[in-house]
Parts: sequence; C-alpha cells; structure tokens
Amino acid sequence: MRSKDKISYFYDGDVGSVYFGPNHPMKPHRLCMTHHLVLSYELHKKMEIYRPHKAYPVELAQFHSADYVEFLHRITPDTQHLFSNELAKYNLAEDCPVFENLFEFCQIYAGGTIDAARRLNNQLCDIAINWAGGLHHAKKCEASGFCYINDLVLGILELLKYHARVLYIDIDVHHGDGVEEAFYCTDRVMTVSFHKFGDLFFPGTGDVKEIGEKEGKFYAINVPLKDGIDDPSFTRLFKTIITKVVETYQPGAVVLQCGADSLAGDRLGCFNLSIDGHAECVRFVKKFNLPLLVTGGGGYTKENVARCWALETGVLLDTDLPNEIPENEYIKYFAPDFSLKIPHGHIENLNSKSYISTIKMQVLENLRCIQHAPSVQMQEVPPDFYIPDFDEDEQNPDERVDQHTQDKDIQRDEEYYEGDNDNDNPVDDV
Amino acid sequence: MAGWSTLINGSGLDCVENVGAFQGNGYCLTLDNLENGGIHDSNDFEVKQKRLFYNVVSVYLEQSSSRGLVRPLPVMLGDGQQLDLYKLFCSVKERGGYSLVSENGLWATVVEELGLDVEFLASVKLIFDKYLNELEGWFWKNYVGEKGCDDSSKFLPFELEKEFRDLLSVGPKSKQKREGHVNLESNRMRKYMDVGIQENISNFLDTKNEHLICEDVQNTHIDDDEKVFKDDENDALILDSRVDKKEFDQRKRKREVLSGMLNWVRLIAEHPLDPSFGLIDPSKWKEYEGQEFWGQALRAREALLMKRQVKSHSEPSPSQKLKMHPAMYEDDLVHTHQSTGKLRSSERLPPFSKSHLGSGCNSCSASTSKLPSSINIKADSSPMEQPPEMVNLLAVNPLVNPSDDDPTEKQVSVGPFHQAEVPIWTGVVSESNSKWLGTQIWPLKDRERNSMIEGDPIGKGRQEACNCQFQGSVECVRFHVAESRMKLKLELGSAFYYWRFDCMGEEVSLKWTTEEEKRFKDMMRSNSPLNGSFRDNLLKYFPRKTKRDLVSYYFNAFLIQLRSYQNRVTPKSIDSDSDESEFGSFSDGFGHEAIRVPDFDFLECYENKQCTDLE
Repeated sequence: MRSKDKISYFYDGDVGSVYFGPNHPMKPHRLCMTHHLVLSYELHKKMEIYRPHKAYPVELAQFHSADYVEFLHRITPDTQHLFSNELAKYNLAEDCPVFENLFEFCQIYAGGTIDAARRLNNQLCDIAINWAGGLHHAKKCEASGFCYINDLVLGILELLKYHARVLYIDIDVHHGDGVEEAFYCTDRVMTVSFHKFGDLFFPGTGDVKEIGEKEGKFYAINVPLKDGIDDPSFTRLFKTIITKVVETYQPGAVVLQCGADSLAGDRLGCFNLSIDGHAECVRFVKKFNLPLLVTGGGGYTKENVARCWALETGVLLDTDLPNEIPENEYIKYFAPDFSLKIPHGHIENLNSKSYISTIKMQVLENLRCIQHAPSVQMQEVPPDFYIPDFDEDEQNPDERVDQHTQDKDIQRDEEYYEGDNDNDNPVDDV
Repeated sequence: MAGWSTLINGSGLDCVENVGAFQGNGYCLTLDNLENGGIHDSNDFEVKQKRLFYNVVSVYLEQSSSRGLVRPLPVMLGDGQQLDLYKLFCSVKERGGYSLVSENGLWATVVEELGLDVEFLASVKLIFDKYLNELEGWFWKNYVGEKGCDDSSKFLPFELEKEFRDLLSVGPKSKQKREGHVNLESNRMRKYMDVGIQENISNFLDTKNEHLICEDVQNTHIDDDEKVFKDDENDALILDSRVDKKEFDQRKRKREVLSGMLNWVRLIAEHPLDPSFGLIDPSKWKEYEGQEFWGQALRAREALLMKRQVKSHSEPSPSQKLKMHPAMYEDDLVHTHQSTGKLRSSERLPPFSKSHLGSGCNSCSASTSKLPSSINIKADSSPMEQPPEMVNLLAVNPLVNPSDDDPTEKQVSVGPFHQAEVPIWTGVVSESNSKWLGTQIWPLKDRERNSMIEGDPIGKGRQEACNCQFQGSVECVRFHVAESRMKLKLELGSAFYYWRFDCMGEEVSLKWTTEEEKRFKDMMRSNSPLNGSFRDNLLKYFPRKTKRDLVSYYFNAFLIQLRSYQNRVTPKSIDSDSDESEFGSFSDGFGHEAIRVPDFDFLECYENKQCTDLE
C-alpha cells in the first residue's frame, strides 16, 4: 500500500550530534527530532529511506571553488587560529563557525541532496526528500548565513543533466541568495524566493527588482515580504505566482526549499505562518506532478521544525497526520499540548493588500517578458532516451512560435489576479 | 573569552550590575570629557594619549601572551632600532587606517614620517598588522562587541577603555581639531551650517576618486543633508553632519561599535516600563540628550531615514556583512533576560528604526530642536556616539548604479567567482552518476523484518486511553515511550542503529553514571553551555567521554529533563532553543529537585532492563 508517488527519503544518523557551538541558533539536532517524529507517525512504512553517500570534495567542487572546498576539508577548530586570513576570506566566523566534523556534516547534507537528484534523474522515485539539505546561502567561494556548501546548487546542477529547465522555489524566511546568485545568468534555472526583505534583514538581497542578468534576465524572481505575513495572504500569493511560473517556464523538475523559519514563533523569523499554511505550499507544488526534490533549510525553534517537516513528509506521502503526537523519546519537547499544529503568530501583519498586489503585479509583469521572448529552450524536453537527430539551430522557427502561441492560450484561460484586467491581455501580434 | 571561564555562579548578578554600569557610562563619560576638554591643552593631550595608548598595548600583549601569542616590546626593527608604536599608529590613522594606507600606497610616507629608511617599509607594515591591527580587533571585540558579562573592567579600567575607544575611533589629530570647534555660539549657527555643508561637499569631492562615489550620490546625499537642515534646524543635526565629515577619514569601521546602542534600544523595547534601562519619559527627553546611546539612536534613525546601504562586495570586509543572527555576537547582558521577545526581533538588525519611527519621531525632533548649545559641546567631545556604521551607510557607497531609483539596494554579484557553470542544454542527457544513489536502509532488504509488528496503521497519533493505573502520570508516559521505542527497535532492526536511535532520547543517560550526570548538571548550572573553554573543561572532567558524547547527552538527556521541568514549572516561558535562558531558569535549586520524582530510579532500572533484554 504505497502512495501513488514513489518517495525517497534521506537521513544519516550522524547529523544529530553536530554542534555549531554555544549560542548558535542552528541546531542540527532538529533533524534527529524530525526523523524521530516521522518514524513515530509510522511514515517510514510508506517510503524508502536512504543513507546518503558522503559527497566527495570533487563533487562539491562542481559548484564551489576548489580552494574553498579544500580549505573546508582541512580546517579544524584546533588549527583555525593559524588561518585567520583564510577564515576571513571564506567568511568562516561568527555566523559560520568552524566546528568539529564540519566537513563531514557538509558531505552528508550535500550528499543527500545530490543523491536525491540522482534518484530523480534515474526515475527511481518521483519525490525525494532531504531535510538535512537546503543550505541556500552558501556562495561559490565563501560560507554565509550558517551555510557552508550549497547543496541546492549541487542538486540542481545534477538535475540539469537530465532536464532542460529546473525550477527552484524557496519559502525560507531568508532570501535564497546563494542559489539565485549561482544561477543569476542562466535561463536553465528559474529561482523563485519568498522572503522577508527590508530592515537590513539577512542577507539584504532579494528585492523585487532583482530579476537576473544576461541570459538569466527575468529568470530570477523575488517576492519580498514584510513582517507578519499570515497564512491566507501568503498561500494565495504563493499559488498565484507559482501557477504562473510553472505554466510559463514549464520546468522539467522542481526543487523546493522548505525552510521552517518562516513559521510563526521562529527564533529568527518574523512571519505568522502556521504549519498548515507552510505545508499548503508543499502540497500545492506536489500537485504539479513534476519530479520534486524537497529539502529543509532554516528553522531555529527545534520542535516546530520537527513538527513542520514531519507534517510535510506526510503531505508528500498523501497521509494526514493526527494532531496528537505519538509517544516518542522526544515527546517532552512538544509540551504543553503535545500536538502537531502550532497556533498562528500574532505579529502585526505589515503587508497591506495594496503592497502585496503591487509585488504580485511586478512579478507577473516580469514573467510576461519571458512569454514574449521565449528562449530556444522552451521547446518540449526530449525524453531521456530520445536523442534528437537535428541541430537545434537549424530548427524551424515556426515551431517555436507555435509553442509560444500555445503558452498564451493557456494564459488566456485563467485570470490570476483581480483588478487589472487591462494589463493582463496578451499582445496579439507576434 | 578568557574571562568566561572564570565566571562563577553569581554570573546573573554580575550582569545586572553591569547593566547598570553600562547605562551610566555614556552619560558620565560625556561629562568627563566635557570637563577635560576645557583643561588640557594640546601638548598635554598628546602625552596623555601616548601614555594611554601604551597602557592599552601592554594590557593587550599580556592577554595575548596568555593565549600563546608572544609579541615582544619594545618593538625592534631589523637593525635594532626601536619603533614608536604610538607614532606609527597615529600616522596610519591620520591617513585613514591600515587598509586605506595599503590601498593608496601610502606606506612610504608613513615610514618617512617615522624617520625611517624606506627599506623598512615591509617590516613596518608587518608590525602594524601584527601589533596594531590585532590590537584594534581585540579591543573592539572585547570592549565594544561584548560588554556585560565578560567583566572587561578586570583588564582595563573603565575610563581608560573609554578614552582609548575615542582614540581608536577618531585618531589623535582629529580629536585636537575637534576641540577647536567646541566654542560655538548659537547665534553663529546659521553660518556654521553653511560651512558644514560646504565641507561636506568638498570632502565628497576629495574622496571621490578613491571611492568611486558617483555624482548622483553626492547630489542626493547633499540634498538629503540640506533637507535635514531645512526640516529640523537644530544643533543635533548640525553636529551630525560635522561628525559625518570627520568620519569620512575613517570609513572602514566595524559595525560592532553600534551594538551598545542597539542593546540599549533593545533593552528599552523589552522593558518599556522599567526606568532603570534608561527609558525616558517623553517629557524628559530633553534632559537625556547628551546620553551616548540616545544620541546614537537618534542619528541612526536619521541615517536610516535616508535609506543608505552598504555595498559590501566591492570592498569585501567581513565586518560589513550582514549577520544572520547578530544578537548572538553581541553583549552578554541581554542574555540574562529571558524574554523570548528579544529573540523574535533579533534578526532585524536595526530594530530601533522602527520603534523610533513608530513612536516618537515627531516629538524627538521637536525636543532636539530646543537643545541648548552646551549639549552641542558635550556631544561633540564624545566621538564614540557617532555610529560609524551609519556613516558608512552614508559615505561608502561605491557601487551605485546611477540609473537606479533607489541606490541603496545590495546587488547580486556577477562574475566567474559567483555563478555556477551551467552547461548549455543540448537535448542530450548527460551522464548522471548512477553509482552514488544512497544506501537503502529502509525497507530492510533482507527479511530480517519482524512481521508481528506490522499491525499499526500508518500515521496514527497518540492514543488517548491506556491501561495504566495513573494515566498521564510520569510513569505512564515513560512506559509508553519505552514501549514505542521497543517496538521501533524490533521493527527497524539494523536501521535502528544506522539512524543512531541507540543514542537518542534519554537512553543516552544510561551510559552515564549518576555521579557523572550530577557533575554535568552542576557545571551546566554554573556556566554558559559548551562554550569553547568550558567545553574543554568538560572534556577534562569527563575524560572517558568524547565531545560527541557530551553533545548527545546535552540534547538527549539534559535538555529534555530541563524541558520537562519547564513544562511543569514554567509552562508560560518554554524555550529550549535559547541556550542562555535555559540556564537562567535552572538556577534555583528547587527546579532541580522537581525533576526527581520518587520512582525515578526504579523507572530508570526498569527501562534499562527492557532495553538490555532486546539487545
């Protein structure tokens, strides 16, 4: 009695004992709690669980600079005082301390995301989950915001071996700057990030005006939000934008970063999302029935992270979880109610209706630019076994127009936002 | 911090005292400086500065030698000449600091000024880097970033520290210059303002080439200034622009300087009704104008209103980067307050902007506009109150896109060091390694699975009713936890160990003797958790445990026990994610006792037996 989709789930027991250092909000122990909760809800019976391989340095260097990977490999807490220049160069301080087993930790979570992508590529599963991954801030040559290795970029690069276009969606409260930056100049990856922006909130990027450059222009989407956004406005905005994105971009695979710091009550976050609202986004993305790689991300109130990701594992398995958390070793963390759902937050919602609709308008406007200038890559993705016998450059340009017209027809079918019908009419002459 | 390990049980109290002292400082200092300002002439001043400087250097060297970094004094050059660190420090500061001097190739002139041959250029530079850069970093870290619990006064007398801070921030020469400005009369104000603007402009022009500030920004900046002048023609803002101007020499500053003010604002936000934190009744704001943080906060608000932001990537200095969680690097004093409220806002770097904008914006400017000119002098002689980061926000804006409406935005870096290499899609599937797909742990491949467990439905919740004698009692919960664990273990077989379930939950504590557990708890209660030196101590205390054991025990046993205490005793303020507060609430002996239920030992044995049966 498996669910319709085949799910692969990645977990390595060693991540639970990783410790970033005193007072550091990132606590990998939350992964341990998540896994435990998943198991106490008996969800393991519906999926396959894998232990990821530890990614080799050469795999990590697919994205990261070799010297950075090499340095991460070499550095230990005991030797770090010898390398203060390098530490500064690679931003290994404060937010990103050097700790025991740092490199092994990176290898595990990056290995998980890479393995997940490979399983998807080989069609061994429909959905792959790696809650340990999702460290979206890491840059090519430096660490940033608790992230050392950007497993998402590595996973996407892996998916790009099989898919012409990959869509990246990020619902962490922080901007997915590392992933955006990595694919800022390519149209083969579209990055969509919903995040808090302004007040010098980390990392400071992610304004709606950041849309990509060169080939990648219009292929980076940012949805900057203010404090206190609640379930209804967030999910409505999410659904509108993602529907339009998927329809316009027609990705071959989707990577979803489910940072749980966008939940109400997070130690670092400032949104009002309930777990249901958060999970609703996951449910929505699943409905597209595209190969889906789901990762974790931020999340700094341990028990809420475990609740959220356990519930979302259930969502991906089409299993509703009862609100009463089953007895387990960590049950005391879930006091006083021992329930799965958490209440909404009560931070004042600073996102006015007009603000949200302005943002939505701008995003959709940018998306229309893609429709009007479709890239060559917008053609049908050949199936894995199909090798086209013609050169792409020689292809009949009319066919592209056909595809394009098709797109517009789809667009005409539905109205995505209220109140600006005049702007929404597609241009007729192409 | 070396100081941390010496902290003892009373740390909570210490902190509270420090808070008090801390609040007082700004005020006292400005008064001190005010008095001093009139008395000493410039010669005196320099001698004093020099003495101060060497005092601090010796304190620093003493400290660093205790960490194994030996730097001999006096400093000798290759030919046995002594190098005057103070002179070196001053001349470098005068030229804008280490990095500016390096960038602009001014080391030769520095060496010349010191009366040395150019061949010593490299060694002088090295000396500066080894002694003074480190000294400066150490100073900011210890005395600016980490005020509060680290009992800094142990190393540096307070006034010394404070003055040295001044020295670091402005440099000796500009301090003297500034004294020239002190005697301002309010009737000359208007004229002065004009001069201020002009100076501002010329400064911009001076630094234009170095910093690539484009014309647009200058204009907008000056416009802003003028607007400010028009809007609130008051002394405080004039000071702003003057200090701005001075700060242009010193633009590479660490943001930590602001943390004092940030914490002050945060404290106020957390304790809106507590007068001891310096919250001021709006009607009395006027009296507090000279207070250091108050002034900083006002100017920070001003700077934020202008919406300038740092572009860090052109000058990648780590100190200018945004922090994911700035609060955790700041003063320990906030940690003593267990309010979770502070954590909520901790990632928003300048929470003050909002609070001020929301609450007192109008009244602020109204009250500041009535400032007597004496305040002007006061504020003037305390250079630290200028938040340098804000000045950076205004001044260092090197990569501005003039076509952009809003030049403040941080931009995405583009270049070979930033983007991933994405191959062009050819339609041909490139090889995706099928070798590494992960090792299947579940479902178990061999039929070691015990089929008798299959009965439970997937996704079942907690059962409300059970057959225990006392439902919901500690024994009942323990029993069911152990029961579910046993079932899992049977079902999972080898996966149970792959996932480290054998070192999960309170079972971890079974590997610890009662004596060890007691020692661990005692240490936890008297120290902040697992910090560097403390962890080393722990390892010394528990020679047979690895670091991994300790971390595992901390999360699986210690925190859970703490949590069950919080659940019972302080259900309103549960927080098992803030390392600090955990120990605060744990500090009373009563809390500890509450965990010990009468049958605890029995249950432990019971559980123990069960698990050994299964192995």
